[in-house]
Amino acid sequence: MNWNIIDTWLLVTASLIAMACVLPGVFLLLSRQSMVAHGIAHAVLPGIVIGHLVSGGVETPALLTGAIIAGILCTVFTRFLHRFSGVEEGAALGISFTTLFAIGLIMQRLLADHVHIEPSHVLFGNLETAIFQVILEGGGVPDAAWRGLFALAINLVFVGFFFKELTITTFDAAHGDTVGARPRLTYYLLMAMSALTCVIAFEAVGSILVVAMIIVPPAIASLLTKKLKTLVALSLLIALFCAVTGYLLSLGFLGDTISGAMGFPKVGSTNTAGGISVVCGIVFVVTLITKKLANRNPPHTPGQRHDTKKENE
Amino acid sequence: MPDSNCLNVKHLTVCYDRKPALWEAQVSIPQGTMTGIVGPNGAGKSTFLKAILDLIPATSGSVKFFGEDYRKVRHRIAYVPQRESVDWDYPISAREVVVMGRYRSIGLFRRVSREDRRKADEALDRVGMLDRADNQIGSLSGGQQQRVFLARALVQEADLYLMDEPFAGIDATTERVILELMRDLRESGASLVCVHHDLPTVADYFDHLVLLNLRVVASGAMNDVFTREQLTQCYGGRLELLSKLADSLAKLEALRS
Amino acid sequence: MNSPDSWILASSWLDRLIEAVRSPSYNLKVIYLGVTSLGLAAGVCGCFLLFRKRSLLSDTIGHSTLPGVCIAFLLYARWGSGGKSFIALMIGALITGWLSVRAVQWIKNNSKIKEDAALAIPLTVLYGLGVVLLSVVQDSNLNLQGSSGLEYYLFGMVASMIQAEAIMLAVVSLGALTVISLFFKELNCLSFDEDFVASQGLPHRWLDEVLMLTCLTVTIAGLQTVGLLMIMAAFIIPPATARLWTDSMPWTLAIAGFVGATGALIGAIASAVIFRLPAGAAIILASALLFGFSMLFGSRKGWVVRQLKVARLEKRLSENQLLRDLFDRLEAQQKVRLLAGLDFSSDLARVSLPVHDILKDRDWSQRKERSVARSLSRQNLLKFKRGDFVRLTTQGLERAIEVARTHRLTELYLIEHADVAPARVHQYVEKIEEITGPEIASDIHQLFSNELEQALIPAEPHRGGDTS
Repeated sequence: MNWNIIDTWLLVTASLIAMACVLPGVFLLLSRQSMVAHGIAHAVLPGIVIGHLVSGGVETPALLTGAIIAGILCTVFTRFLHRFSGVEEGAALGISFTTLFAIGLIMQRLLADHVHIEPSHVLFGNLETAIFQVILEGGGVPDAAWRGLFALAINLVFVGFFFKELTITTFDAAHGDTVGARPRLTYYLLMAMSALTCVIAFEAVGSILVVAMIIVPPAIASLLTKKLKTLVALSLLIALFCAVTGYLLSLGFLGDTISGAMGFPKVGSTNTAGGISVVCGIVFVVTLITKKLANRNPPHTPGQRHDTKKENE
Repeated sequence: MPDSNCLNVKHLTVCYDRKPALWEAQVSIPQGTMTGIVGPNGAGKSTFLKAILDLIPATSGSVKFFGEDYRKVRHRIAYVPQRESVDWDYPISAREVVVMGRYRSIGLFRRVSREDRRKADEALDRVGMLDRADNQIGSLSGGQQQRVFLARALVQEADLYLMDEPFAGIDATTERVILELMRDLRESGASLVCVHHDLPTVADYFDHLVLLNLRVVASGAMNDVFTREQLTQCYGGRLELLSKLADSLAKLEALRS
Repeated sequence: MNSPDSWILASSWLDRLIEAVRSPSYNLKVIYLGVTSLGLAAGVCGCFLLFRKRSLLSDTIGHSTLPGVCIAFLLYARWGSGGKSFIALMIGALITGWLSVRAVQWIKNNSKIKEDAALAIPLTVLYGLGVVLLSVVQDSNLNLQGSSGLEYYLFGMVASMIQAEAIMLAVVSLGALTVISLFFKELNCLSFDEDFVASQGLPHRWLDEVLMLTCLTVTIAGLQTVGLLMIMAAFIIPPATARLWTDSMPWTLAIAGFVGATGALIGAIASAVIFRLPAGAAIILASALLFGFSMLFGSRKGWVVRQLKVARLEKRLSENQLLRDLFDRLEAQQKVRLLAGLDFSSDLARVSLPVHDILKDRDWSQRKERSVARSLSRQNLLKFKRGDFVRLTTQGLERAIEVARTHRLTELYLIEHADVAPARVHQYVEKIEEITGPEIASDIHQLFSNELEQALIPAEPHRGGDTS
């Protein structure tokens, strides 16, 4: 296996993005809004297209702004449909993001066809291309890696500064309101951060697989710990692990195994984002099963009451 | 001149979205008292608390705390909601829940200080939960959870405590602890207003009483209100029509909005 | 994605539109049949998902079909004759789609993870697996025939729908509708109250499976033709639209099916007319527009309809207010307490009353006074006299008495039972009485029948006019 500088950068970028996604993801998971992440990931498309049109190119600030606005629009629409016409929340979300995505698709095809937003790349991402081109042009740190770093940094800052507010409003919004923690504002900020992270990750891993990284590592961590700070830290670690493992396995192992299992000649590398997602899934399943088995035979320490209170919910 | 009432509610009518209604509730609660709010199921007791805290909109009426609007004196009021309103699987410890009560004094962008944690521990100690301060809240029993909620209210160092069924579904120890605590708070000059779920005990626990059944049947000192006629009027009688009328009003408002 | 511009030869879009509607080419007809069947079936099946608050399950199912499709493709290429065998891909998709539903349940049953994450995790993991498999499929080492374009299943290739596919879609659609109508009663029960169904010993698990399998089949059938996104939207948007029009289940299904089919048709036509407009997205947009229309005009929850209802209520309210005021004045002038029933003096009906004077305490504009009076006169309840005067007809007098009595009794009720202060009771009763209508009126009358003579009308409980 040939390892070169490109691979390193790919690995670094994927890891940075995976960790960046986890931060808003923890709070989305805790406030039972996992599907909102999915919705935002779809809904950012029109924002990106408009950003392209406005900036005439691939200028990141325009893209980011467009995407954030689109992401917030999605949540605003969802709430509006629910309040104004009494549409059930899940359906409201579904209507909002499919419509926004369709609008994005149409705009892209009709207005921005010259811009290279390949639909498949929207959804699957093309990390390789993003990095490859930069390296070919003379080295240095590829843009995608910078963006990954930026995403991680800004999320760390956000979660760091708003940790109290995020915790209070995801735990008990009504009480939070009475102590001045501003649940509504916090909620919209969280949505904005999710949209921003989505769009940064978008180019690398595609908007749909972003959801894998936003939700699955925090979900895995939630099976392992009952402490919030540990949950965040663990999610970051798990994300890192899945990103690295996923990437490495995508270099050949996954592809070869699959093609080999079916009697095909070896294929070599497979899509990185998909690989990371699969690893997340495997880790999740393994963790869940292990936990179940462990709970069936609870370790009994004499003198300590084993708490089986809410196990089988 | 400061209002000697901690709570003054006039003409409070709430018809909101199929929640139990309230018709023209009128209540004055003096400071330094422990008031219980009782009434049959669906009588609008929780609605009352939520409406005065502006958590649900009211159709009409005025609410004054210590003579002022809610917004002006929020920092003097602590709210203990019902336990069911919260996701107890949330990965935080008892201490962290209690620290949330300090949010107002901490404010945006500042970190939780050692002082805050100390106060949280003090509160936990007062409710007898200090040894479980690090336990995740889901692993606590109902009574213990209630005590944690109470501790969260304590750290707010409020003048008025509004509690929604603090004695529901708890064990005897917790009951004793909470009652003692509430009496201490009253001794130190705070006022307490609690929705209470259990009629037989209300006279023992509280010194003032509000009888609520879609409207305020009676309110005042316990001895004056806790009489057979008043109780019959509160708990007896079919008030289906009153509910229907409230529903109609709610429907009209929903149409208009 | 691809729009069928290759066979619309007319040059201007209007010509194309006319052609697409009036005399569509064979290919277009094929497309119409296909997408309309799909929209119809998905709309109907989606209703049950909506009622059980599982709208987004269609998203999970849809995304999870990708790995199935790829595996099927690979297996078929290895052991079958290769290429895109429709049946093979469908079977693959069915299996993983079904797996995803199982996975959601499994996660919920075995951990504290809540519904939203339980939906999101299989969705994204299986999709990721699909993406990996896709890159295997498309790997140049394998050089598999027909492997390119597999990813477009996401958007569908409506443009290249062939007759066989359309017929398949129609058949699947018909099958789904048959299943739904066969089990309509049970599914209805299931969606409304799952526990009840279980307690009745009905095979509710099995019913659930039936529903899921039906949704699954429709999803997969549509996947390759109209794409994942459109199928997903087709399960969600039409049912939500239908709910804006009706409360009854059969009508919901009918309207949802209609909206689904119509949206699909409009989208297909639009895509044929407008160059490069991707068909799947156009269909979604068309359905969304229908939804938007329904948000405004839907007969149950549409905004316009609500405003009309309010206007109508206000009108009746005003009419009754005028009637009551006329009656109050009559009562005061004649200095009698009137008896209801037929033995009132019909002379009273000939008393002329000055409208403007009577209404002076209400803040009505001249126009409003005129229009309300006119409306009453149209209903033959009063007659205009010279100048500012009117008189009640016999009918009008009867009505006025009725209205006044109910109003006063309601006020009395609120004062006595709700402790509403007499000065404040008026504003509530004014608002309530029109919405409630006869049902509450009779309740009130019954309540008071013991306390008052049936025939009597109580005096005005509150003094003076409005205090609002």
